[in-house]
Amino acid sequence: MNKTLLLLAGLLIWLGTQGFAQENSAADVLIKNTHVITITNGTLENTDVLIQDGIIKEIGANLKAKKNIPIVDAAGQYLMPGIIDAHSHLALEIVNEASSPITSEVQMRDVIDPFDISIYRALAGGTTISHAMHGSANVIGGQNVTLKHRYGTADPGKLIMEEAPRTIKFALGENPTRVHGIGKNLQPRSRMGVEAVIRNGFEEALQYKRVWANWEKDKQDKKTISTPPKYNSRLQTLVDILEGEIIIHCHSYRADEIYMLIQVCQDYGIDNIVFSHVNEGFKVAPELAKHTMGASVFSDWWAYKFEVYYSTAYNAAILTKNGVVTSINSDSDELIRHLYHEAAKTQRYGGLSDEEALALITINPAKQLGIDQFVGSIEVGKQADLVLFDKHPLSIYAIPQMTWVDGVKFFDRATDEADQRLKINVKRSPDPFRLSTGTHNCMQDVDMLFTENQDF
Amino acid sequence: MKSKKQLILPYFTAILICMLVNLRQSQAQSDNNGDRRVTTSYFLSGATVIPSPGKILSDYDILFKNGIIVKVGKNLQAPSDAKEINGKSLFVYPGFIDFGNKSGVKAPELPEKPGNFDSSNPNPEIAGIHPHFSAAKNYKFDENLEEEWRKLGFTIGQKLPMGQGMLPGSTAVVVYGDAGNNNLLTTMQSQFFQFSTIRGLYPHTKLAVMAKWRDLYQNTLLYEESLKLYEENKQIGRVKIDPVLNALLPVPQGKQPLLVSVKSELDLRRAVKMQDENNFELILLGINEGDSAIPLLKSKEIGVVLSLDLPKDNFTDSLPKAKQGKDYEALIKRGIEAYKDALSLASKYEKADIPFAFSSLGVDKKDLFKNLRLMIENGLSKEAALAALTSNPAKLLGIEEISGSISPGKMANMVVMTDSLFSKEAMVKMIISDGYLFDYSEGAKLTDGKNQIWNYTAETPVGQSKGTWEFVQNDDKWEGTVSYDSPKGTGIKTSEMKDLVKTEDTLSFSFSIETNEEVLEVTVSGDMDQNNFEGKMNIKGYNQFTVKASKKDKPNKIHE
Amino acid sequence: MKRLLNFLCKNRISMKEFKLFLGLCFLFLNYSLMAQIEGEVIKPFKANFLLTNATIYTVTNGVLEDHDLLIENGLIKAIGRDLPEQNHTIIDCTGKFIYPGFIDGGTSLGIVEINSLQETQDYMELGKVTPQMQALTAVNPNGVAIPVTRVSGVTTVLTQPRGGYFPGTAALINLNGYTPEQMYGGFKGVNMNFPSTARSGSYDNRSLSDLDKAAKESLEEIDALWEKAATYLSIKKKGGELEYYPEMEQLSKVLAKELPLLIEVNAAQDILSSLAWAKEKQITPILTGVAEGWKVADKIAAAGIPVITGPVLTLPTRNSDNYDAPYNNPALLQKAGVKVALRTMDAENVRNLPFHAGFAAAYGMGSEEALKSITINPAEMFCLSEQMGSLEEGKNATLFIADGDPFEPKTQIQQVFIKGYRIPMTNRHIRLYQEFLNREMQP
Repeated sequence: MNKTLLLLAGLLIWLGTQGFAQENSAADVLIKNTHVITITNGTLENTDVLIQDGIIKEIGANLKAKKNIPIVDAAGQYLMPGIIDAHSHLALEIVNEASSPITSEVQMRDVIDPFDISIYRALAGGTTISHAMHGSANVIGGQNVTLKHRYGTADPGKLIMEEAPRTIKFALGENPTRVHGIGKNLQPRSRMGVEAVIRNGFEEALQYKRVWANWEKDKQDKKTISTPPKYNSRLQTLVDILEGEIIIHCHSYRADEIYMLIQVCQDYGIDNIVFSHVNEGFKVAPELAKHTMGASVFSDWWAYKFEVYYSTAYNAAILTKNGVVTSINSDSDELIRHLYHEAAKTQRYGGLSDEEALALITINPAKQLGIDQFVGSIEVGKQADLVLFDKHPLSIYAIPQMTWVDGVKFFDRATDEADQRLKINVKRSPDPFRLSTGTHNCMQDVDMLFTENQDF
Repeated sequence: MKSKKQLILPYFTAILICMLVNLRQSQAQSDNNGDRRVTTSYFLSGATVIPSPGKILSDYDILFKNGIIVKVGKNLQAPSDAKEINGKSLFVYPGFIDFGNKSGVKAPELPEKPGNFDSSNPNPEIAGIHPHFSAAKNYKFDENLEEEWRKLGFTIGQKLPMGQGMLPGSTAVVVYGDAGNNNLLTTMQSQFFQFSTIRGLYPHTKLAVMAKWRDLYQNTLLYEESLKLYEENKQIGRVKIDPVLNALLPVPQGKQPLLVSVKSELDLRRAVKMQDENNFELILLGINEGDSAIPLLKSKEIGVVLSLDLPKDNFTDSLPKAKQGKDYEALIKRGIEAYKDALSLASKYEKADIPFAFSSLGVDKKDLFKNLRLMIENGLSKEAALAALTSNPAKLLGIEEISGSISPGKMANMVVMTDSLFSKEAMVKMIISDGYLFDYSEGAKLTDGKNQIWNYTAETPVGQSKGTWEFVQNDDKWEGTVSYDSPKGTGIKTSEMKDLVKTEDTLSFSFSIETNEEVLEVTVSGDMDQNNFEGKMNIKGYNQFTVKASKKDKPNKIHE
Repeated sequence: MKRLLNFLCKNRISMKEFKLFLGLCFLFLNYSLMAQIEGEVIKPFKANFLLTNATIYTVTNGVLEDHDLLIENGLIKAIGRDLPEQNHTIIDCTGKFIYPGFIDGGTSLGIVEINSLQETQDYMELGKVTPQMQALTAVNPNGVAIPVTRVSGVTTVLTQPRGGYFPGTAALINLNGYTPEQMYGGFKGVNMNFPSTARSGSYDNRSLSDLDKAAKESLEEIDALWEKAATYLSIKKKGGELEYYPEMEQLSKVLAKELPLLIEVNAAQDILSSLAWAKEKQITPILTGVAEGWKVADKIAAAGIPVITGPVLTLPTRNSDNYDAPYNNPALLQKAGVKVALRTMDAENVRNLPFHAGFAAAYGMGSEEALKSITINPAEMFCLSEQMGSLEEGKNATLFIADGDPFEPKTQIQQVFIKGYRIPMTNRHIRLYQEFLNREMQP
């Protein structure tokens, strides 16, 4: 009997001391005496930032907060906006619907996995927003979803940043040609075919739009009308792209294919396009600067496949210097843990300034996702997505200390328990070892049916 | 309300057909095999009747005839044409209803892939989208298969259509009655939906399943509109019959529920999202996790069917911790907690006051009652468990006028037990299904030979240690479990027997006990005869103790 | 100059852009201490160099302020204040820092060109018992990744085969040379993959006991091979007649302690098994990988076995682990008393080794120990501390000049020397930068 009681008591104490990120829910906080890296307005020394209801209320010296608002004394530390990853596959159950060269109808918001431990790990690296993307198997992939890392909920919907505009994944080059052309004997088999698939899609979408418009008009005019056309969300989504409602984020590597899609977009009057990975973007930097919403690149990945053999780690620097809105993305559950370090590499490879380097992971990706009016810098009125570092975030020695999303603290290095799993897989005991290299997952869920290589 | 009346009609039609068959038989030859029953009228007397969860009627009689319960009452007069059954010390429950299984359902025939097959745009049947198929069409009553369910107390089951894709077809409700009858109760019960696909084709993953569903739903509405327009004005040209959309029409109209199979909490939430976007009547089948979604399901009044399948305890007897890292114990603790969560899921639905049914899909039949008992041990009331097997599924299926409880006018579907339901000793004595009597006391005896329970006592320095050994024979191979008081003080524990050797006159096996400090390896060996065992129990690193055991009498003592 | 002006005129370049262009040229002059002129190929060259007035991180003798370092005949001839100048090429290092070349303890650099193209993957042979396969043989001295790597200060790497029980023999290479022999750094070791009780991926659904069983069976196979190698060795020692058996020939060298064994092992339980196994076989191997070393660090320390761990920038091995477990791992091993070297396990991005070390430094190891883990510690493990791993007189002149802490991304590595060769501070990445930073033809 005694034993039982002891065991119970132990369990209760243990439960009581579990510091889970999700337990915090207050959206008010006053962060005092810190270096505030605003991104858009320089770095403010010895400054306070007041957050109320998840919004940055005030920035200045000696701010006073109402009673009961928690105060974080961050003297000597560095506060910057939450890091934004414009290309990720984190918190997704499924990445690729690799069954058709165009799958614009599928929506990543249908397969959000709020239990993914990677969300917490990203928070521990200061990343508060990720762009959860469809994979790169299809020329026109699915509709992506912009996530806020509100870790701790079981409701996938609560992770969605509802203010974010719609975005869609496109992919050029080796992946779609391998999956469909080589794997299934469907176009595209070449970069010629990739262009053709996109143009076919857009033309069919225009036809679809006309057919519906005619029918609606007949209906309005109370004419004898025929039966309604069929609904097709695939074509409807393409119509929405043509009407500027959706931002294209296009997986691409080579300069020729990037240039091709710029031309196609010009032909169809599309301006809302961001190129992703874009390893050879530096070769067409002036074109990217003139016609697109920017480029989202890796800091230094190259040579993992042929189409990235002629890359350079100076890509981000060249693009930035040419006026392209540039961001650095992860495409990896590992890299997303240290995007601040990835940004710092642009100082070695091309000598970007602190401001330029940090813009790559804050305001620039925010612009590319169409959310820069809400996040991406520390400004009054913006959402309080913040990360506090002990040292300057571009230093190799910097360690994120706390991370807030909408003013709620979701990561605290000092108090968080090690085990942050939200869900235990009862079918497996107790927690399997898995050696991971955190490699690319753009080609996840592309079955062996489609392709031999699982790389991205 | 209307739908229920519609359900009664085919039922009576079925009875009518039965009578016609009988008539025709009498025109031909008599039953030269002696298979036919003498009377359709039965009188069960003096039993403990549980007509519906929570009610107990002691020493009651039940009269049923032609498959229908005629009277339930005390001290009734047995009619002269009735076969009498002595129900003394027996417990009578309403027949169980299984909300979903696939036994007896064949895979549908699919069209062949054309030569120029395009995997990105396959025809709907090949892609697993055939809502126009039905379980009823591919179902054949197979006494060997269905008897397995009947023996467990089930008298009615919903048959799910076979098919790997997202919309395999309509479900059917079947009574586990006599093999000579057509046992279909309803044929278009609900439209079955699952988040699974024929891999390699469109739709290939859940992503496209969701997208495809949206398109199908919108196009069903447009199809309905087209049919209406054509009805009004034939000049616009005929509407080509689209079997897929045609079959889906009742779903947006609210005439047929969508029965969505969910394998995870994320599936569950995805299904709720589908309903949020496009309104229809939703029933979730096979819920096995995710208690945080309970308030959501309650607020939306979604039909809830829990899985009778439970996970195994992968944690309590995990590998010795000495070989693992320091954090191993904490891991195990969280694992056990999660396991307990799975066991207590049903009780949480009960506490939230959500009536739910059970589905046997995916559960091993021999685990079924064990699992129910585990749920009860973890907080589920016996009443709620019974309701989940009887009145709740009847209501959810819209067949509560004919099933789900024991009352006059309903189908004679009853479970007759030797003891109160869910007690470990309780055995199914007989099943009354569709008014037919199936006696399983012989069957119970048969299985008894293969299953043995022994009580043992061991004399140890700290006192007597007691427990049971359970042996099961599968294909001539014995397997067993041993139960003992947990040294951790956490109640009775069971362990698997290892290296079990059981012959006519000897027995040996070993097992491990986990204490707070270490894992004890215990070996038992000795001599036995039919009913007694005497031997030694050796605890590695400790001493030897004497063990005695005796075979327990057959649990079902009460016979006619 | 005239030609250049003509060229600029033809392309209608404005004066402003021209200035920017010149500025960039100077920028690179500054960066690399040498400009690249059109058509010119810059080669590594050997001379006597006097590096003056530098802050020297010797690793073994502390930090020497305002010291000179003299390179002669590929060796560090002298370190001191105001060394006399005699026909030396002088490089003024005022305000600069000199470090020994960094050593990566595990890569596939040189033996793979493009990761996804099988045709360029030379790190794996068929069969699971191929200890005689020589990584050095497959090293391509002209691999594009080699110059990309060395300009970061990573001068020396262990390049190793993979797959099977005994994938082959790893070799230490310096990242300069025209033939593998010229690159060879003086250390070889036989790789072994210790049987793992861990699941191999998310689709691996085997139970723990099945995994245990599989690992046990594999280890029995390895033991049988070991036994054969022992037989082979004893016959060889006795001078008996032996049939050609290159696999056993190579393994017998491990038994005879002529070649060290590098045991790849990662899960905590496997690490303990590998320690017991090594003890039983009476060998002192180097453990590699050791991802869960932090869970059993004291046991590794007690066994006196050194560890090459990494990558540091990687995910935890278990979902329940602290998010920074891999960052902390080197520090926890080192603090328990284990000799630790680091590795990237990369090919094209071995240049990130200083950043892996930087993370290890930040997460508990400290800069000094982290520096050792990519210099003197691996040199000692490879029994090469007489030649490399620190800045001391008589050692190879394999070192680099930086304008700051080489772990900091902001820092520029300005000049690398490998065995006295001055390395051209350029590569394809830099040349692409030079060409495309300011593209001549605008849209």
